[in-house]
Amino acid sequence: MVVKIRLARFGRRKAPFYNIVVAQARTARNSKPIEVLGTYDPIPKAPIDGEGKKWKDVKLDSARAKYWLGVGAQPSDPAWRLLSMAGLLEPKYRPKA
Amino acid sequence: MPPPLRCTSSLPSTCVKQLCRAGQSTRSFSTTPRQDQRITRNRRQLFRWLGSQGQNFLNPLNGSTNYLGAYNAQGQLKRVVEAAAEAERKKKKEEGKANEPANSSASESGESEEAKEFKGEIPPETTRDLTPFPLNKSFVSQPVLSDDLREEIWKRVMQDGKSVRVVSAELGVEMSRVGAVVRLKEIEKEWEQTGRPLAKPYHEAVMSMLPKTPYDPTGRTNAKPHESINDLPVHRKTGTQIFHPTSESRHFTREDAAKVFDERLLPADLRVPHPELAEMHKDYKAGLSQEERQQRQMERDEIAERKRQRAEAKKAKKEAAVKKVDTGRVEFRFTEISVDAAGKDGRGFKGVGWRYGHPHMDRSRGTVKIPTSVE
Amino acid sequence: MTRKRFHGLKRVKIRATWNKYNLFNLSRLKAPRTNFMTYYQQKWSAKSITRAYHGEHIREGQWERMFTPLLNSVIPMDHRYLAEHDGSEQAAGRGSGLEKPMDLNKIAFGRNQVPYMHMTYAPIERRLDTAIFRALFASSVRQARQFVIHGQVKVNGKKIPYPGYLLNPGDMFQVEPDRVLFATGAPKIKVKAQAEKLRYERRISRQSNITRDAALARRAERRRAKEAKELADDTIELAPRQPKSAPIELGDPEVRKLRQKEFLKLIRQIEDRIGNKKVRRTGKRKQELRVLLRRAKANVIFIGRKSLQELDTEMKEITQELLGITEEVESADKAPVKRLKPESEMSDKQKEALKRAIARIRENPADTTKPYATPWRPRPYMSAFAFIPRYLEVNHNICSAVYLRHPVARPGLAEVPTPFPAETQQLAFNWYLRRR
Repeated sequence: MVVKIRLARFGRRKAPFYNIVVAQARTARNSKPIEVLGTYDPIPKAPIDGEGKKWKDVKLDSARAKYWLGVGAQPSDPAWRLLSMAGLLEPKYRPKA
Repeated sequence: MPPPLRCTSSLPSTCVKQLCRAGQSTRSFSTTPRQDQRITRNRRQLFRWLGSQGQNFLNPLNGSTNYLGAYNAQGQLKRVVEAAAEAERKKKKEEGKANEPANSSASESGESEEAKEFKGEIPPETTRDLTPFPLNKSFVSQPVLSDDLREEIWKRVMQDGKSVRVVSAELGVEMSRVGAVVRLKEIEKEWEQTGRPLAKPYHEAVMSMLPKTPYDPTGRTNAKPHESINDLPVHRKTGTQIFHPTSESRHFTREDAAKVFDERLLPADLRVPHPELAEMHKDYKAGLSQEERQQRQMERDEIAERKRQRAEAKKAKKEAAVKKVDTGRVEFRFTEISVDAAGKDGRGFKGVGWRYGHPHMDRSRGTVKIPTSVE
Repeated sequence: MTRKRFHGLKRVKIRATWNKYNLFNLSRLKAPRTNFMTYYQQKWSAKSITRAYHGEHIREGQWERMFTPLLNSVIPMDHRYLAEHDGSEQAAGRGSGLEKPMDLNKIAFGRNQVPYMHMTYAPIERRLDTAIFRALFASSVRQARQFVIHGQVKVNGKKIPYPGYLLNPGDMFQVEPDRVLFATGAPKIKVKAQAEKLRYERRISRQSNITRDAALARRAERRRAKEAKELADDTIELAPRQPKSAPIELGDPEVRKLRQKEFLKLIRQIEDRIGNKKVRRTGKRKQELRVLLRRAKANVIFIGRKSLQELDTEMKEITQELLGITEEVESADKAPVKRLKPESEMSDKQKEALKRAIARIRENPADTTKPYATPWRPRPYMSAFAFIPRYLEVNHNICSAVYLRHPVARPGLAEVPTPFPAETQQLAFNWYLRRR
């Protein structure tokens, strides 16, 4: 069976919040995973001093993520995007410049 | 409970007619008497009061506060009445010394004096005159910072670069208030720069109604400070009465007393907002020279500065550990965590992420659903 | 059953408002007589009258959850005392004959007591709506609550639509200045001018029909004479002006109405531009926009006194400037140049006075579009209620305030504003203290 790194949606209606999880591919989205690697909050927050860009918060255990990638876990597309941003993977899609 | 509205049938017939006629102008079919038109004794009293004593409050008093507590039952300013009586007594005394007759003329002159006082300047307010609620003497309308004082605070902090603590001690204004004044002033200046209109007339009107602490640039010592800056908050642990026997020969200090109340309670010297003022006074009492005192003050400042720098460095280190990735529209901030923090069962309180296996209680009864703080 | 009056004169309840009925009730408020009541009755009535003032809009259960028997207080310390004594002098000498017997006459009872009981309702002062009322931004707590619900209030720069938001020390709240001016300003009195104008127009139309109905006109004229006496100068001023423009433009009122609508649309456009924060603008551009807005509003106000041509040219200029075409600025510059000439003949003092007067008018202009009386002046009976407790630091210029700390009691003073004596407060405190 395939082990996947994917996002599990929690939070509330119109207030999404994701756990970055390692789970068997055939299990339900929000079922108990093998491991919770971190979280991803997709709602952008305004910077405190009011200047600069809005930011999104990602919490990630990169060592464990690396291990799971090493043993063949397959990231889903959104997870790939986050992991590539963290520098653990080559980006899958590049913006066409 | 009596019926709040009397039935029309219980009223004499003339009254019914009158009420109906009164109502005709708006609702021709309505037989309900309009509530406003019932003239009761209370309403009559109200309008009598509004026409007499109440007139004092219709408009703000020029150059003074205007609270209920400042007036007597006749609607006269208590302090004006007192001042007039005092003046009259003085005059009588003087005249009694000079010659006994001409009593009538004295009383006349006294009256004219009173009238003059009413027209002219009003004596300054005492605490009694600053009570907006006559029954509650424990609440007094305390003075607010005058415009000059606010400007001075802003200047000392933003232009002279003094610390909030120093400015607070210099001007006798709480530290939190100094910070707030600067923050609000900054916004005000920004509005002025961008041309956003300020509520100037409102500001002036309100300031004329409130007691104010003036700014005294000469810095005379007898001027009353705005507020006490060394307020010791009463700790909950000190609320209990404790019988603590010690030997008579023991030198039992505040520190020991704090220990008795609670092992971890700090003494009052460290719990006041400005402990450095007591330290400075100690140096002064010890008879140190000016240079020595300055030297010691510098040392203390240095220690405080080092402490601040350490905290800043810690914060900067934490900030640096966050990896920032700019994707154009937003910035992603990656914070490193440890999976093991969640513990063996995955429910440790330090673990991140939404929990599995037990419900989220944020919507249950009794929990606060609105934000509890705003960044 | 009818609804109970909010400001009753018979069943008196003191409310947290600036109402004149409330002021009257406050002026005749006496400490409740409790000698014929049981303790339970005393507590119940005390709670009843105090709750009518403190958060009457909050449900009882909600308040009971907020209530805490822990009351905050502070003792002001003198740093000189702290430096000179270490506290041992308070403990020394007991039992060795150094202690002096207590002299009851010398103790100032009540003077230095901490009025803890006045702090019973301190948790309510933390609420956003109450804080707005205490900062003098609204004339009652209910009005403050409405401002919050309507989204006119920001906390730390963020819109907070919850009146029950509990402020934390250091929170800054801002209320929209226009709302504050509305709440604290004198109410707008409906100007008679509108009614007079209507009456005048009706009269004019009647005059045109005079041949058709002579008798009616004569009767009307008699009435009119009476009215004219009452109205005196206004009609006299209006009468000669109206016929001048009337023969030139027959459909004048209709066209004017159209123009007015167009101007209002224009005002809305400019206001939208000013309110639109997405587009970044320089301060100068913003100022220009505001000037345009002022000009457009002035046109709406004086729409009855300007000729149609003037209105058209004004409209054209404003729209052009709004679109960023600023070639016609010269014409706008001409007017002040004309005015400057007599100013040069003035003395310095006169100039200063003129400048100040102009500044005052500019700060506090007459503007009929506002929902309050203009030029702004404080509402009646405001001064009797104007106080700011120490736990707030308010800047009225920008209608913002900072909640510095929770209210505290100190020897002789309590920071929670309450009209009731300590006994009543204590009874109320005991009511909520009970264990159920």
